[in-house]
Amino acid sequence: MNPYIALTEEFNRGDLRAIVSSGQAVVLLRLSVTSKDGDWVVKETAEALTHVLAVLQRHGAHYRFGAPLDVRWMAGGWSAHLEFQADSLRLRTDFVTRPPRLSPADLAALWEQQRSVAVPCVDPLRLVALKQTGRERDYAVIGELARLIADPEKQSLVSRSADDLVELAAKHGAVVRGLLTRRPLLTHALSGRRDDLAAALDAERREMMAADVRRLDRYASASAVWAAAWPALQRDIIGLPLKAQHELIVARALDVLPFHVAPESRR
Amino acid sequence: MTGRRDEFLSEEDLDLKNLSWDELLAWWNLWLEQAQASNDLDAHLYSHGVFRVDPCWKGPAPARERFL
Repeated sequence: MNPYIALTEEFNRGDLRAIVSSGQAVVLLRLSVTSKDGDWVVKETAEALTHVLAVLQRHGAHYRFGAPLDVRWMAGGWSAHLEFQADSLRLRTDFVTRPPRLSPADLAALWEQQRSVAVPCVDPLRLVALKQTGRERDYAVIGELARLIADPEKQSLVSRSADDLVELAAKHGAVVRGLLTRRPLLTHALSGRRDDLAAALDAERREMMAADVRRLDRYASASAVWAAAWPALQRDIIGLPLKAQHELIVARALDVLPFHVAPESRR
Repeated sequence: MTGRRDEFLSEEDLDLKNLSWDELLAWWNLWLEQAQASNDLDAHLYSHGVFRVDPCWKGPAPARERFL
């Protein structure tokens, strides 16, 4: 058994609470093994988060710096990070309930879609949105994720390949023409100008990376006081059971970590 | 077909789809074991979520734009 599959089963015992995301989802989609950390989208309910904490307590997990795994912060897009040792493996477990760049409707549809799946896993189209990070290598993964999307309209909206987009435009011209307002660079696919398309894809990637950097900057700014308080708090929680760690972290975070971060101002 | 195709991942990566479920788990577990070698190097870093670095880290701040 793989440790992340086993954890996912434990998280979902009795109800669907956690969907495998990011790097381990890329493995489940059989594209690549590139991440040693586990990420889950967790249901934004107190029951789900309490259950996940109870599972992790049984494994002897401890909190890393991050937000408390508590609905009040998770609803603001914060992430919670825990870790434990399982034999020779350091297992990191990262959680969000509001993954970036997914609308509430899209997130609700994801939960519905994964309701009866053996190993719940973020699907390729939504994983594309989650992978639009400030890290360049994620765009290589997006390139292959897009090829898993059968629908030509959806694939045309997220593909990173100039070759694929030119081919999509040749086969599905009307569909691609209908997407120009949503993705203007498709005009180069329709006209077959591959070099212009490649340059536009590169510029688009840089803008997506920059947008994610700005997003993380806002969270860094909002958590600056929390970060300054963390070293002392970490000393206080060492050796405590996870439930006690959690209660102490919540109590301290209430004073200094805002539930929500201001959205990006218009530029 | 145009005959051209951009490549994003290696053939070795993409061969995962030809593995049985048990073979995939075995390869995944082996990869995780081998990846532990870099634990000391990334102990302070975050690869997901909204945080970048453990505030207890005394070294240089990680780059805001990352390539790996």
